[in-house]
Parts: sequence; C-alpha cells; structure tokens
Amino acid sequence: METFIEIKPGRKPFQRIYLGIMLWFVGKAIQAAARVDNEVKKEFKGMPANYTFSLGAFPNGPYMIVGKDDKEKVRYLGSNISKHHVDLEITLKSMKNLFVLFTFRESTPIANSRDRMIVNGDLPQACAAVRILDIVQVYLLPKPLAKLAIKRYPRWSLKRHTVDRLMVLIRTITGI
Amino acid sequence: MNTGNFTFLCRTKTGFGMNALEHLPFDLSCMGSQKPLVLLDNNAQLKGCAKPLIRAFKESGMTLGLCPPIDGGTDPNIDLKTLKNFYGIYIDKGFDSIIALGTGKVADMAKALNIAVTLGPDTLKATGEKTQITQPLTPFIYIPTGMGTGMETDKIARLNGKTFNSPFLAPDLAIIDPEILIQDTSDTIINAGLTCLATCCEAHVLSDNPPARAYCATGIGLIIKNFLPLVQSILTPEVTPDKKTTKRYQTNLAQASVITGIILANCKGLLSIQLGRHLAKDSTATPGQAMTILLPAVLDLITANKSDLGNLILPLSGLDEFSSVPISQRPALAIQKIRSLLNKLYQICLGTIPRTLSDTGVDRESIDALVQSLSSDPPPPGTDIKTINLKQAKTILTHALDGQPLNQAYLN
Amino acid sequence: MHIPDYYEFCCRVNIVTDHHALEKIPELLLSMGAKNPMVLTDKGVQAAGLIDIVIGAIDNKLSIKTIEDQVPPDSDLKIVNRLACVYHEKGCDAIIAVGGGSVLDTAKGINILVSEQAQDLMQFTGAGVLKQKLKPLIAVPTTAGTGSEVTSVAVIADHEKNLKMLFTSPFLLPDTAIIDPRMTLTLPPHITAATAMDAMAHAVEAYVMLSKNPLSDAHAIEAIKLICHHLVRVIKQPSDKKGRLALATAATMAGIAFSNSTVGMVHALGHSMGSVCHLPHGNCMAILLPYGLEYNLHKVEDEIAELLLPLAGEEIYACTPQKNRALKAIACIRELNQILNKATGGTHPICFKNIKDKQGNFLVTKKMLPEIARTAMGDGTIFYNPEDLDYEDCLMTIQAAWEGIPLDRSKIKQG
Repeated sequence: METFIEIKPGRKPFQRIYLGIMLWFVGKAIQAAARVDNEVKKEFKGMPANYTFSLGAFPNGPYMIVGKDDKEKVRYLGSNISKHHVDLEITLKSMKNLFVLFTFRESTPIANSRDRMIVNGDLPQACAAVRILDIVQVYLLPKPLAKLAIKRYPRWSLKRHTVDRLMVLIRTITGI
Repeated sequence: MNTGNFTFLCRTKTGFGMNALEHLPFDLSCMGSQKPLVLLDNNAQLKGCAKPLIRAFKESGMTLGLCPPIDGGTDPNIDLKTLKNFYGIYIDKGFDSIIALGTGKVADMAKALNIAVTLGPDTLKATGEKTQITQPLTPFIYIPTGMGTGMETDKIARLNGKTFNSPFLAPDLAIIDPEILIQDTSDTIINAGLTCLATCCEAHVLSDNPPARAYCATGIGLIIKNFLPLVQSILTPEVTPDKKTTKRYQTNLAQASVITGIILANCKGLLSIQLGRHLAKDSTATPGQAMTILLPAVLDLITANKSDLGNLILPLSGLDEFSSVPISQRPALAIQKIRSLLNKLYQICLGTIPRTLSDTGVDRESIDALVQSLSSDPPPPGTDIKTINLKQAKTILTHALDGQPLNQAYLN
Repeated sequence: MHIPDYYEFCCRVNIVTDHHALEKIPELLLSMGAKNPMVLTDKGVQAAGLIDIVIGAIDNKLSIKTIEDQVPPDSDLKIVNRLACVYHEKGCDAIIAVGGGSVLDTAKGINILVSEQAQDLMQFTGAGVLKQKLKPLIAVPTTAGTGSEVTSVAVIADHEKNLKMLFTSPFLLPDTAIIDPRMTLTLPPHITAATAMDAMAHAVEAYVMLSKNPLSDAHAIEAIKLICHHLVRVIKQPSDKKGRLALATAATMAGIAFSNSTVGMVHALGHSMGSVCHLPHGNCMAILLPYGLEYNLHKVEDEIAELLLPLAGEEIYACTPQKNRALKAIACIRELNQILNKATGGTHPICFKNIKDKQGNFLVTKKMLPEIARTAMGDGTIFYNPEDLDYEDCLMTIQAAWEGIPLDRSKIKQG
C-alpha cells in the first residue's frame, strides 16, 4: 500500500447484539427489582419525579434507559436514547469498554477508576443509580461473578437471596 | 527538602495500558476533532500496527485517513516532498487532527506537518529563532510502537537542521497500548533505556523542581523494574518469560520513554545528555550508552548537595534499602547502583556493550581532542541548551575513562 | 511501584513557583496574546491586602480593566453571569483569579461563558462538552490547600434552582498557576494548619484510592514530604518564606495527584460535614483522614504502610516492622494533628466534638451525624474508595471521629 487511503469506521455486530441483550436484561431487572426490593425502592424514591437515567457507550450506544413515570412507577424505557429526555447519563468511553464491563473482566468501580466511564448528571442521583445497578447485579449474577462486578458482596437475608431473587428473575423475564 | 524557584509544564495528556486505544475516539471528540490523519513508518506498516488502531475506531463514527508509510531509516532528515504531499492530503480531504503512529521520524514529521497545517507552510521556511509558536496547534496524538528516542514528547520539532521550540509542539495526547507495541531490537531498547535512565537520574538529582522529580522517580522506577528483564528476554530466548510479561515490560518501558521527553522539555542543560550525544557522534557507543557511562562522573562532580544524590537510592532501590542505608553511604551507593546496572547489562550482552569510556576506544591522550571538539559543536539554535563548561567536561571525561571508583575520582 | 492496567495522566497547567512569581504575570499573559485582564477575587483576599501585592507586581505592564471582589464563599451562577457581562463590557481578554476554590470555580465559569460567547452556562455541564481552548486564565492560589489551580473541574451552584452544576474538561485547567509565598504569608496559624491538612488529605487519599497510578503516586509522595518537613516550622515561624513556598508547592502537587487519581471517603464525609454543619473544609479533612485510612486498612494496607516513609522519615520506617507500618502511619497523622493542636493554642481541632463557634456553642452535635451520613451517600468520591460504604458505615466512622476515638475495626464489614 503506497497511496493514501481513507478508512470508514467499521462495526462490531457481535458486541452490539450481545450488549443489546445484556442491557435489555439489566433494564428489565431494574424495573423488576424496583417492585420487589425495598432498598431499590428507597433509592428510586429519593429521585425526583419523571427522573430517567441511561447506561451506554460513546458515541452511538447501545443504551438502556430506565426512569420513573408520572405515577412514580419505575419502567424500563427501551434503548432509543433520542426518544427520551435523560437526566443522568452513565457512558462508557467506547463500546469495547462496555463489552469488557459486561463480560465481567472489569468491575464497575475499576472501569470507573480507570477513566473509562463518564457520568453526566446530578451526583447524588448518580450515586443512587450506581447502587441500584450493584443490587441488580447481585440479584442477577451467581456469587462468584457478582464478586467480580461489585466492590463488596452484601450480607443479605436468606429471603432476599432466595425468594426476592426468584421474584426479580420472574418479573424480569415476564416483564410484569 | 526545599523547593527552588521552578516552572513546570507538560501539555501532553498520557494514557497508558490495556485498551488505551479504545479511548482515542472519545478523546479526539473532546478536542473537537472528527477526522484524524494517521502518519506511520514502513516498519509500523510492515508489522501491521495500523490494524489495532483501525479496530479501535470501529463503532466510533470517525473516518480515518492513512498516509503512505514514510521511510523510518537512519537518515534523520525529513523528505520535504513527502511533507508537501501530506500537507496536500490533510487540506484537501478536510482532516482536523494528526496521529503519529511510530517513533522518532514519524513524530518529527507529524510536528512539522502540524506547524504547516495550523500556521501555514511558510512558517516552516522561517528560521527557528524567529518563529514563536504561542497558540495551540491542531490536535496531535502520538502513539509509539516502541521505545522511541524519548524526544517525541519533547517540545522541540526538528526539521532538517532547523529547530522549533514551543510547548504547543508537544503532543496533546500520548497513548501507549500494549496491543500496538512491536518488539524493538535489543540495540534500540538498550539505547532508549539508557537514555531514559541517564535523563531521569540526572534531572532527579539536579532539579529543585518537585513535579519534575515526581516524573523522574516514576521513570527510574519503570526502568529499574523492566529494562534488564526485557533485554535479557530478547538476548537469551531460553529464559524468555511468557508473552504477557514481555508485553508488560515493553509497555512500561514505552511509558518511561514518554516520561523522558517530558523531563527533557522541562529540565534544561542536562550534562550527561549533552555530552553523551556529542560523544556518540564519533564513537562505537550509542548516545544512550555514552550518557550512562558519563552519568556517575557527572552526578559526582556537579551535585552540590550530596544528600540529593543519596535520595536517588529511593527510586533506584526502593523504600526498604533507602531507609536502611545511613545517609553518609547513600551517595556512593547511588552511583554504584548505576554502575552495577551497566555492568550487569555488559554481562547480559556478552561483552558487546561498553562499561567505561575506554571500552569505547577512547584513551587518555584523546580526551583533550574530544574536549576541543565540544567547543566547535555549539548547541543548535532555537534550543535552550547551555554551552558546556569545557573544564567540567574534561574532568568528567577523565573520570569516566575507566569508570574509577569514587574515591579515586576525588583524588584526581 | 503500583502500575494499574490502564491509567490517564494530564496536567496542562504551567506551574510557576518563585518568591517573585507574581512579577512574571505580565510576561506570561503577553505571551498568550492578552493584555487586558480582569482580576477576580473575594472580599477576604482584598481585605488582606493581597490584591495590592498582585497589582504592585504587575506594575502597569498590563492594563487591568477591572478588579472584581464580589465572589461569594460558595460559587454562584448569578455572579458568574453578571461578571461575564462585565468582562465583555470592559473589553477584557483574560482572567487573573486570586483566591481559593470558589474564586477559581467562578473564574472557570466566567471563562466558559466569555470564550464560548454563550449566555447559558447549563449547556456546558458535564464531561467533555467543551471542545476548544478557552481564553487565558491565570490562577493565583491564596490558601495553599485546595489545589483547584490544577484541577479540570468547576462546581457552580444555581441557588435559585438549588442545584450544583459540575463541569469537567481539560480545557478548564488554568493556563498558568502562580505559586508565590507572599500570597500565603499572612495566613494565621490555624488556617495554615487546616489548609495544609487539606493538601495532606488530597495527597494521602490520592495514594491509596482505586485510581492511583505511578505518576500520581510520585506527586503525592513529594507533597507529603514537603508538608511533613515544613508545616510545623511554618506554624511556629509564620514569616518563613521558604517554608510558605514549600507548603504552597505541596498543595499544588497534591492537587495534581488527586486530580489524576481521586479522593475517597475522607472527602465524601468531609464534604457532607461542610455542607451540613458549615465547618471549614481543612478541619474536616484533618480530623477524618486517619479514620478514612483505618476504614480501608484491610484493603490497602501495603499502600498505607508505604506512606510511613514520607510521613515519619526513614529512621522510623526502617525500624518499624512491616506489619505495623500501616498503623504507625495512621498514628503519625493523629500525632501531627496533636502537634498542630498544641502549636495553634488549641484552635486546630482533633475531633468534631471539640469544634465550637465564637459563642462557645458546638458546631457539630450528635444529632446532626445521621444527616451527614445520608448526605455522604450522595457524594461521588465514595466510588473511588477501596472498600464499599453504606449509610451505617458512614455513620459509624463519623461517630468515632466526633468522639475522637479510633475506629473499632472489628465492626467494618468485609465482603
């Protein structure tokens, strides 16, 4: 190759599909946990009405958006960020960074401490959102994986570990 | 524990380590850039260094321009026709930032191109002294593929004998990603590693500049932990560690090289660097080797406060050794540490590198001629390098001749 | 040497440290193509006569268009908007900010508005929104503590809407930081102690938090060494110019360290203490620092142990067994607080229950602690803390700090 060439940005279809599924799952699980888990309920209660937050990758996603509706009900609002006003954006600097996060090779606090994450929005709410994500990860993941994803594995009651977890999983899948 | 009057400026943001390239599209967008032009040399091209870079731009929405590779050979001069060609491409195709993928000449070319595209090509024709660059230039990203010369992150641009000097010439961003690093030859690593060592040690001892000292300490730590193991792994393949460890050595040494440039931009008149570069012109020793051969004598001669020299033990040997050695013994030990490193390197390289000035073929009689040649080699215009004190130079060269132990050096 | 798998480091500020650094302002500003600066400060700095020193040093070499001393202790959107108009009206082309954190934040806010030719600051909130270099900004810190002359962040409060806007961009870094001992020479001993301990907390936290990296570590160590060497001497001999310069340099070094690593729970709790009880930030840092280290000890023992060397010197480091070094380092910080307490005639507090206002009322009562713990849970710095913290953990820590008794480490939850 001796001449100048222009290279259009390629795509990463596999990562996009994988992340799409994972984000959908997390989004639905947040919705479910907000109905089941008292701590998650409390965190959402502290957020203003109609508050929304998103998790995604720079510059073109994929994303997931979760928010409260007029009736204070927490809903998964899909993946199209242009359709919603988002109050708090948690964005990974690239899709690969998000992929590394969702394949549990880097935990959220580590990704954050390695400058891979940007948070735009009010800090107290951002803290609440991260705590919600942590709780949801504990619900969704088996203990060894969850330990990789969060800082300190919580000491929950047996009910929370079994009954509540089952309820979160059922509600996540059925979407009720 | 005093701080003198000092200034410190490093305009380069650095990103070191795993998946560093992944941050590049985001960082470019933060600098208002959407379309970067990549310059690389034929070695980087041959080894496929562009591939990880192209991969990092997937899903970024940014189009990359890839220039034809330049000849990275030993000729330090830049081909002006190529520069003109790149300038044309940059302007015609609407690029808005420059990425230098590679070391040495690629970075020089990128700096020259940056001056041309921001301030107009005529600026390059003016002489270095007259050209004051006081405004930020186009975003310039430096991605080394190896250890480099340590001058890539300096604030100096060299264009065929002319020198431009401005903090704005330093890269805005230097990215070291293990994925893009290629295996340098042992000669390159030895030269670059020793250059880093000499720069960091001398600047650490001489400067009253706490930020510079912090960079130096980091640089020395990186060299001590990674330099000899990497050289050894190349020269004695039977003891080569796994690929991951080798990559780690490479990444850490490339960091040290970036740090060296930053120190060079902030600490003026480092004697071992200047003398070493001069000496290497007509010698079997490379500049890095010459600098390290001279370093013990330089440190010993010009350190006014010996405790500054003793403090070098901390980055060289770590907390435990530093704190257990009596203050009075530290200066001698620091110098011994540097000598030991060179001797160990001699052993690893099976005697193919010099430990002393006489190993390079210099004898006592030729020292006067060497000193004389210094006076006929003034520092290049545009740089802030001081003229060397010839008497000092003679003492240093004499002492470095056999690498005498300190006591003898004092007697002379 | 701890080298993380990935880290970033950036400090584009030209740091000019000199006993006559102020005199270099005209040359520096002219080299950036500006000569009509706005001088921004607050009433306190003005009253202390520091502005006169700055103006004297500039000595008609620049045409200062206006001196604005209206900056409140807590940056305010209205003031930013008004001063941006003044900047335009008077034909300024640069800002010289003389003061502490609030003055710097205000200057950064004004600089965004005037450089982007914008009316609404809100559109620039968040990370990475600014895309180009702003107008020249020279920072002249007067407290030797906050380090905001080298941070890329600005916080501006919209008191009407009751929200704090956060701006993050490398373009917010001032072009130059002028470190001149004359700016801190008149600080009374207890403020000198508090601000230096603020810097100490920056450096120590930067060294032990999750984002630590070799360059931030090296900056932090230099800062701690300088503070330990000079602080007590300066308290005893306030006119020690060399010591003042060293402390100011240390504060800047600590600022570089924490803005490239991060701070953690000490700051999370300290910010909340400040906002709930209106305590001086430096006092909170001094009291909370040993507790923050105790809380994280099981996660970062080696790092804390390494701090013993700059804190206590090589003799004590060498003679302390490895397993005791971390605890000894924490003890050293407590001891430093005790020494400062004594040297300032009891004004430098060592626990929260000791802090009283001029009338002798307690500034922090036990009843306030739950609210402080709740506020801390909304502080972003909590995420960089090595160990996780929930409400009970925060409360337990500040309760101990209130009483002035060491943390009961058996009660710390480990995952």
